[in-house]
Amino acid sequence: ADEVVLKFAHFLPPVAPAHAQVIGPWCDRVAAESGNRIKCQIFPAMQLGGTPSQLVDQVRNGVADIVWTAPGYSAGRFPAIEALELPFMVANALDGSRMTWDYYNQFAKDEFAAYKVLAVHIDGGGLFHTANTEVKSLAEVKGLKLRTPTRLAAKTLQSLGGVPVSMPPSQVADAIAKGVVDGGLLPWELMRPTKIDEVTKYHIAPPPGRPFPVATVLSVLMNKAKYDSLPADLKAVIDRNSGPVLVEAFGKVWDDVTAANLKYAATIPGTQVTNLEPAPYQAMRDAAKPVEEEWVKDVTARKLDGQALAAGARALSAKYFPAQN
Amino acid sequence: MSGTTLGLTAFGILLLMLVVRIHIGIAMFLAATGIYLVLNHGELNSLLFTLNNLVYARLSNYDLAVIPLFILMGQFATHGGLSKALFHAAGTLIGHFKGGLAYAATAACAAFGAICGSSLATAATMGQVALPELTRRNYSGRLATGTLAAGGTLGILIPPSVPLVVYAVLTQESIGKLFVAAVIPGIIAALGYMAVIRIIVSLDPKAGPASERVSLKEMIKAQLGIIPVLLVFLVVIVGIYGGWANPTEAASIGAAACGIIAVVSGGMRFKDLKQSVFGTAIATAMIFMVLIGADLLNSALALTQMPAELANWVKNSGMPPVAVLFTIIAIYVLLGCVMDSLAMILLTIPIFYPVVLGLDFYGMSVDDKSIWFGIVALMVVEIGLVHPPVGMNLYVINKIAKDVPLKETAMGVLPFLASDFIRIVVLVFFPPMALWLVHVTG
Amino acid sequence: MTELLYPPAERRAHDVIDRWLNRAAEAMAWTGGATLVAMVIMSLISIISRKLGFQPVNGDVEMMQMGNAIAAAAFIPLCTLRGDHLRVEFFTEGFRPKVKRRFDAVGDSLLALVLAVLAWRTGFQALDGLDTGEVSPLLAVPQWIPVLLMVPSLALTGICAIYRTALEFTVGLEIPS
Ligand code: NA
Ligand code: NA
Repeated sequence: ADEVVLKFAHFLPPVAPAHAQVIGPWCDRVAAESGNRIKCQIFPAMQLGGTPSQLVDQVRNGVADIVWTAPGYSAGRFPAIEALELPFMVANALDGSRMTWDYYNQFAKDEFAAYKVLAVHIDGGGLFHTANTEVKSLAEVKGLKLRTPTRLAAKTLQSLGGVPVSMPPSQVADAIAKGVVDGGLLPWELMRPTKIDEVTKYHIAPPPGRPFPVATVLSVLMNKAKYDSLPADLKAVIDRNSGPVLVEAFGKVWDDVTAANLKYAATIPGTQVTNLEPAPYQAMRDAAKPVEEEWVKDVTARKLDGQALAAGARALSAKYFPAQN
Repeated sequence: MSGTTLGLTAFGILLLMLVVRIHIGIAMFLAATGIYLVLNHGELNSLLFTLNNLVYARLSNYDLAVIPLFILMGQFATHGGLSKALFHAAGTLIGHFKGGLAYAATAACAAFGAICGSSLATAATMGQVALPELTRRNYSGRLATGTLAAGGTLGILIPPSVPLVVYAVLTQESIGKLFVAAVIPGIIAALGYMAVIRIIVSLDPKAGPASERVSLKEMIKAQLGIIPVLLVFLVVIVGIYGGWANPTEAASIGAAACGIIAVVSGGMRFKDLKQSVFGTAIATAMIFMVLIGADLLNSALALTQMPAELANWVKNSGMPPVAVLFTIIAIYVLLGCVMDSLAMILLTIPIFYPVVLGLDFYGMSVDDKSIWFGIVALMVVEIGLVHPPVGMNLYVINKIAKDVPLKETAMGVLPFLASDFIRIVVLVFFPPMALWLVHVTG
Repeated sequence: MTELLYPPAERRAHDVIDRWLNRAAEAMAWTGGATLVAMVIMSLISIISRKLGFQPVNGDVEMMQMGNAIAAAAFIPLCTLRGDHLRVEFFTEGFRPKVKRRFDAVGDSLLALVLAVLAWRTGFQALDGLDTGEVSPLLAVPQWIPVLLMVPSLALTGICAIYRTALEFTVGLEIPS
């Protein structure tokens, strides 16, 4: 039978855990189970051209067959799934990813109708990595310039009194070293690839088990026509290896990397890894409330039931992360 | 057809298109189109959808925004009379030595290069200021034009530098680090050119007679005249290196500062403003058109997997890394005979960069290799600007020096070319020349 | 060559069409220049207010991105009309001017074709952005706006290239430069 080549594109370099530990092995597994009738060509680091926000278009239009990307990079295009990026939703990657898949199936399937969705998952949540400021409460966040990954992360930081700055991950460390920004709101997972461990002293997370201020939803999307063109047995191979299996594979790798980076950060002399105290943590959560209200209004204006989406996300967050406040 | 064969075939067709005068960006675009069509068996959709966002994605790149800003800054600097002040100041300082005005022209080129990202602009501007003076002082046409053609390359060897920005964007390298890495090699280049002048005037004292010493008062007055230039340089360079601005912001500050200086001290009028705007427009457009074509070509080459396969093949061939590097340098020198520096970077970096990064050089880290190779590539493509037959700087300078035959200019630049080659060899065997400052300031 | 020889030569209009194309291309270049200067000023305000301890201009990075895209596109027609795009002159240097001009006619017609395709696809992208509702991250500027603002520049570039092609095919006419 004919060999099927799948062009798999994403925005990180090949050394990133997502590439080396999830996407690569996924391709190997699919190849093995299909008797080498499915073969991946992986294009890391936007080798097919364009910017990360365009990956969703590249796969929709068949420029790539599969992409791994953050829907939030294309701000405003996937409003329903954005509910999971509301402040203080997620406390780790594995449960967070299960929750995200759950939420996607209940609330966000429509907006991905143009794609064959292989996985929707989430990073473990972003924490404060700062050069000189030990964030203990809202007082220290005031005026703090931090790099933020997505639109809602920026709004969340603004609600806490900080100043969001957007820039590509590759520039963050340089910008921190030179004082252009004071640090970043990033997941543990990105600490070493972006080298911000070399330029930051403080890593401040929520109280153990509590949700992080920001998070980024990620997704593996396949071109629908490409999927439909596969013979039934190859479709079955893709199906077997996507959905919850793939979602959990991402979640596990993220949590492993997080644990390793946490341990590593603790060994760097002069570096402080701390957790916020419950009271100031609660104050931050209160301060970020308006973000959710404004989001509900925005989304409702776009003819979605913003209230139901936010409530649904909160209910799932409470279910997957019982330790909320 | 294997991916590598397809990639190489497309490359051959691209070179043929260049021979018959097709615009470089368009030729790259068409070669890429061919690759897409072959890979997709004539199906158009994937190509058309790649084109959807090609232009906006390229033109809205934040790092590339420094290019029009640096060009605007150079245009303002040119119209602000800064080149004249620089040459005058250097002349009063060192003009009374044998060959002194040639030293002064080189120093002024280096200083102008520190606020201008383009080599031809530096050659043209400094040429207009310095050549008449050198002729008046009976400098030989060969030394005068050779000095300025070579000195013009300091425009890109000393940061800011447009080719380095492009290299940074292609390789996702930090513009700031590349600029820092270029500082010492750039200064060494200027010193090397001065050494060449020294040798020439000691062999042939009549080639560069000494000027009379000027009064201390006049000298100090001349130095005061370049304070604005120093200020702009400090603002931009310290802004980028010392940290309180990113390159795009620093370029904005530099453009604004040069604009203000041009109006205040240079008396920039509407005609000059118009020329600044149009000059910026044309130079920016020609660069971005090539960038658009190169962007599509890079995606197409990635699809063929040719760069990766080539890198692998070289890695496994057992060739000594330094031999590979000198082969690459030789290819650059050959391409430089017919091609423009920026087009060379755009065309070759996607192929050579993975090759170089895949090899071991003195146990250097990937980060160091990436910066070091950027400076090596910059220096080699810069040579293409001055070596015959089509070194653009030669033409620029020769056009200004109406009574000097082109052949004399070409002969005049040869000794400077020798110093370029020596510098490149030293950098190849001694990477700290570029990396030391990066590590110290890192 | 990559870099401009200063100063750009004054261009003599060739005929009525030329005069109008020249006006349009120059107007575009002025628009682009004004946009660029506006970005410089915005950037300065952002840095200064940041240094004085206030907030930087909200969305300064994305404004610079949008502004630069619009400005750079607006610069292309003038460069095209004047025939300043980069090409390799070396191999044809000894050819008769008429032969060179025929080569250039082919080159410029290909330029026109490519720019027409790019104008079409970029316009398509703007329409697509209208559907998907993508916005810029901080200022929520709809993405289709800056994309659409590039289309007139690309289209005018195509027209300038067609004009040059026509000129280069007509024997006996001097090409203004
Ligand atoms: Na320079
Ligand atoms: Na001459």
